[in-house]
Amino acid sequence: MSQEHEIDLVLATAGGPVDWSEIPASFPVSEARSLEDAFNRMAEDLAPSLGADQIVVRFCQSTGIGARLHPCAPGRYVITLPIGLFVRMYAVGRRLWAYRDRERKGINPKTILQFATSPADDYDPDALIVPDRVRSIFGEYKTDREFWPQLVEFDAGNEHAEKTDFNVSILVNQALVLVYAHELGHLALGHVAFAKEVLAVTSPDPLAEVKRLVRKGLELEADYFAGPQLAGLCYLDIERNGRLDSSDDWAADFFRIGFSLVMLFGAFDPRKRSLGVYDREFYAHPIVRHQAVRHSISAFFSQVGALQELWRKSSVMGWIEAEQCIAWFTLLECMDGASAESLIPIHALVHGGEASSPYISAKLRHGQALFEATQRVRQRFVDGRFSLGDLEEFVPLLESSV
Amino acid sequence: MQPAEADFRYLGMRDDDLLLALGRQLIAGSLGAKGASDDETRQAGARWFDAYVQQLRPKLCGNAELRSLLGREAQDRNALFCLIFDLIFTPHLGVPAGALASRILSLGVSKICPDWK
Repeated sequence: MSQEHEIDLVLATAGGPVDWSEIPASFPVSEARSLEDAFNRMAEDLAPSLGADQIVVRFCQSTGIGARLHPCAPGRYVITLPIGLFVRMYAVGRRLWAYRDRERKGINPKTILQFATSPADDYDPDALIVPDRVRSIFGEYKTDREFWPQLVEFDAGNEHAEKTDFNVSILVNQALVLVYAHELGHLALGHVAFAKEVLAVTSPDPLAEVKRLVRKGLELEADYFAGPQLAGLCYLDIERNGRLDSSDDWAADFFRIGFSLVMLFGAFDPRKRSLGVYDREFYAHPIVRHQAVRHSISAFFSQVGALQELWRKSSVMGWIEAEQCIAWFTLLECMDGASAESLIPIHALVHGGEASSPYISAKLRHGQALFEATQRVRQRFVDGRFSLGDLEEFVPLLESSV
Repeated sequence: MQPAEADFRYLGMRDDDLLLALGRQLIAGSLGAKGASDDETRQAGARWFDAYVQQLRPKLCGNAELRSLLGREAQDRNALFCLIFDLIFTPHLGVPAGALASRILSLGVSKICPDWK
């Protein structure tokens, strides 16, 4: 099969090329295409340093939100970004950002609202429903046919104000840069070769559980890689505009990053499955991944511009504000059909109250230890010093995660 | 290339399960920012199948032996499966060849090669 055919096949598997003329007019297609061009330019510049001959980045006609890095022919890679991620982030960003203006909506701005499920609860995630009204944002579709009309209907309820879209455009760009950088991170960190040569599971495989855990560690490492890429672009943007000394500009950008991270990671698991459910999966819980990204951005700003404290304060404000907007949105728009048997889980990264915090802290510490162990072992692989015995380092983490 | 015993288990699978088997293997070869649900995995399998069958069409439709078995799918199901398996097998296929052969068989070779009618 020719290399072009292989790339075409990968793109087809991910949904095929986007038919831009079919994207509803309320979504800025030109912005998605500019973003795709920028990602391709970055990929082209970076490819030689990553040992790749070619990295192609394409939006695909999929309504899901899962981006992927596909190894294609030797040295050639395709990063696919579903157009669903772009339009869903836009639609929900518009809705949530408008909830910042709560007083105008007749809500007492001093009222704090918090929805939470306990991360220790072992509830059945299927009992939690994604209401029809927000299915196009948080739900899945067997086919794409139903998605677009439902999305258009949801977006019609948004205020299409210029000021809102100015901010939402930044939020969506931030979310997509993070997802793109996560995929690029897999390549930059040597995950493709590592996964292929070390993590392939044979049957039976006594190391299967350990390999699954290491795979999760790779995802955390890619998250940790992505944070500083987003922070670096933010820095370059402010520098280009000559605003490096403006703490207001920094604070506004940090606030928006804090907000967009909640939007993105909140969308990854709208059913709010408990932390324990993720023990046996390839991905850490969104709470843990969110923390990994925040931590990596904080580390970046402690070295660049000594902005760590401002980052912490402003991004936490963005985080809290996003949680508030989601909570009000849930209460006012998503409660139809709720009952004791069918709960509405549309909150973001708030899980439980005081009683839950030791449990969450333990999971965050576990995530950090897994990240650090993965970093060490993966580096040994990259340096050519790896042996299978190195995987034993993960055994204690396996025991403490379940 | 003849199918191994394990490949025959795909023969009795429902379409949804065949797509899941194809999609799982495709997704396992890539790295993503988010886990794929079963529906997303099936969609990936279906999209890949639709695209790949276009590339397979000349090989399948140009095979006289396969054509001679047309219309006898019910009687010669295993023989057809073996023949299709042999035609589509490549060492770096990226999906279980048995699952691909089984889906081609259940879809119907005549649908892939409409000119045969």
